[in-house]
Amino acid sequence: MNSYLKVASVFDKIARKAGEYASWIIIPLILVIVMDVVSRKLDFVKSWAADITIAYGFSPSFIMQDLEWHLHGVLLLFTFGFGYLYNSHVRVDIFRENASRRGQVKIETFGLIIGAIPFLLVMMYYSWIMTYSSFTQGEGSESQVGIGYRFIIKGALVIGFALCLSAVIATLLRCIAYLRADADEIPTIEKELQFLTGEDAMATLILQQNEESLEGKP
Amino acid sequence: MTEFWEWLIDDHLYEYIGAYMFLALACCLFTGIPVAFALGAVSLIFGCIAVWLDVLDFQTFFAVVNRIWGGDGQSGAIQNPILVAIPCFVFMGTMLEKSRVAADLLHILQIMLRKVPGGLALSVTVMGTIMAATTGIIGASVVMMTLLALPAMINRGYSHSLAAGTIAASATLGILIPPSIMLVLMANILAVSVGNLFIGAIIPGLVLSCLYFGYIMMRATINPSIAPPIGDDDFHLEPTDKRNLMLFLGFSVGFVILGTIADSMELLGLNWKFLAFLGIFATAMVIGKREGNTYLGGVLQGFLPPIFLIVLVLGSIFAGWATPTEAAGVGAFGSILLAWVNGTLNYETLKQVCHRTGLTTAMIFLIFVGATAFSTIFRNVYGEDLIIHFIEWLNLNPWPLLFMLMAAVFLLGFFFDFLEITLIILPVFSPIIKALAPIFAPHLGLDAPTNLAQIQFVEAQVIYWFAILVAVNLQTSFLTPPFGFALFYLKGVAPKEVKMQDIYKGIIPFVILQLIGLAIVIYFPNLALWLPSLVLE
Repeated sequence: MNSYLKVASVFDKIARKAGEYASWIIIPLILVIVMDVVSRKLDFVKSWAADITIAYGFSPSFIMQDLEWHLHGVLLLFTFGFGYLYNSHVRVDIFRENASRRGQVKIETFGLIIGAIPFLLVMMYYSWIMTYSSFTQGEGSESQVGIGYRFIIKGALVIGFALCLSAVIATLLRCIAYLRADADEIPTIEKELQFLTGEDAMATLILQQNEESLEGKP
Repeated sequence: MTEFWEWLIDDHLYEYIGAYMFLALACCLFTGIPVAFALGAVSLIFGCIAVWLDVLDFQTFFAVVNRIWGGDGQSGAIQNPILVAIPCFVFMGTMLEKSRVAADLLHILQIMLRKVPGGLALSVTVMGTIMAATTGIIGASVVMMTLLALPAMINRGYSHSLAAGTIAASATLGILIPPSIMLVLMANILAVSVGNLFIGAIIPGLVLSCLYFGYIMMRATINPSIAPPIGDDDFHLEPTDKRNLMLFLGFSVGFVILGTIADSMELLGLNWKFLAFLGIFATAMVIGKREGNTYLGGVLQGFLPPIFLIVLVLGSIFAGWATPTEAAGVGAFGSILLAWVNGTLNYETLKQVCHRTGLTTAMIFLIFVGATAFSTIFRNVYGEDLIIHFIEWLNLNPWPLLFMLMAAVFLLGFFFDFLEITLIILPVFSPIIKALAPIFAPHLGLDAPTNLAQIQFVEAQVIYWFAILVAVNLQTSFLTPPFGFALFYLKGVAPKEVKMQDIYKGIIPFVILQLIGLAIVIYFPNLALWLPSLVLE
């Protein structure tokens, strides 16, 4: 039983850490947007940027605009698995809540094996094909003056789905461990199954954080 | 027997595979696995069946990935400058809750409205409306408003159901009043301008807010026991310092004059009007801090931060100065500044806000991925044609059809979230409405279109109107049991004595008000179309 949980915790850690680090990308994203806006509203920066485009063949404004959606893409793709581990993905909970815990685990196991894993594998396969053809064709920016090397951001698709798969596998292993465990081991495994412990993991998280921030109030 | 199977598979299934796909999706969703995985599973399984039936090629899944990537630069998730606004708006809303802006605002609103019957409930409504114009998400805002206002309302002896209903309804205004991530997603799906949709949603949002306001005031006047007035001794205020008031007025006038002069001389190519606004804002913040606990100090501290953000985000979109994405980024930056000014910005806060932004972004876009897979496969097995045939077979007049679509959205809202409805249902409904556009034209005050350009214009107008209707309608999806997001969040953080029944009972009148609001926007389409037309000119 323990070996399942150990392997699960490795997959869990990969997805969780990647998501936590990727969440910080929002800060550079905001800064890039602000820089882009400010630089396009100031005439002297605009003429300076035009000089660069003429001299070196790339445009700072286009690069910043491309960078915006590059960062956005990495942010959203790398947090898929992280979101699943925090149970923040939307569920339709009407009937599930009436089922026993064991029943819920069975449904989740079934859903992950039939639904999530094959779907994510297919998505990974075709994103890999897209990335590979982008690399071999040397695909660059449409505008010719923005960020080239499109295969890098297309590769993020593969990694993003892989991270989500990693979170799915972690949960699946825990589900199997739960279904095969003896009665005395069940409470410890339950704690690790995000969809059982946190009926509203997101709400709990928000509440906790709000309490912390309200305590700091004078 | 074999004949039956041949008929079933070769004729029946071949023709109605799209219908079975929808049916399977409904079953799959109710198992309670994450919606995105259910969408993915159904599209994969039915994709395989369709490959077996020779309806489509397995390579269609490459088209799915390509649509998620967004090869055309406007409809995908990644190569799409419009959707960059979503994480920024999420960040802005989350950061704002950390910056105590809402608490300050509620404090001064209570003082201003203490003489009016139901003053506390009214100040919650006004706070919800103002905060809605600065945030694009709900969930966290429901939690925040409940924590701030519900204990206070119960202590004052408010009826539990009125208090819970007021908070849930006011907090969910955030999803309708721009900036709103729902409108960004809708604009993306309907291929219309986000800015126009934002501007169009302002008046319908205010109409709803006024309806709430009127209803609460009426209830409180008829039956004061459910909403007792605020006592005069509840707030202790220092007298306002006249010198600070003079100083504030002096500085403001000075900045306006300087800004106008510098703007007319076009010094350095800077936006002097905006700089003057920043100057007035900074002065007001400093004077508000110096005043402390007085009437002037409360007004300055409570109203300025939200106004600052509203001007920054909505103002710049309205003036055509920035695209919604840029406005979102600038607004997010503004929310960091506000948190810094209020002294709540530190590493821990920033980390929490980033994580929550990441989680919410992941939630939205994983459903986007699933819905893209579903709709691509659905379209490729000719599911859309099935729906069009079904509508033609119904042979309804356009008005009953519109009411039927609205009823469908409303009923789906009982079980599903705005995300599923926007991403799965809207792409199915919009072609129907587009086809009916010329019939609705007279109702919108437009002439019957005669050439192609006019037809396109009328179609765009009808789609804007329809999008706003769906948006108003979808706000109820947060409030209707059994699957009302806002109600869950409210129950999660409410004091123990507030029962789920109180919440359900309290929400009914507000859902009815919402439907009245919807009827008003259906009857007076100019409420949604007048402001955008003003900006276009």
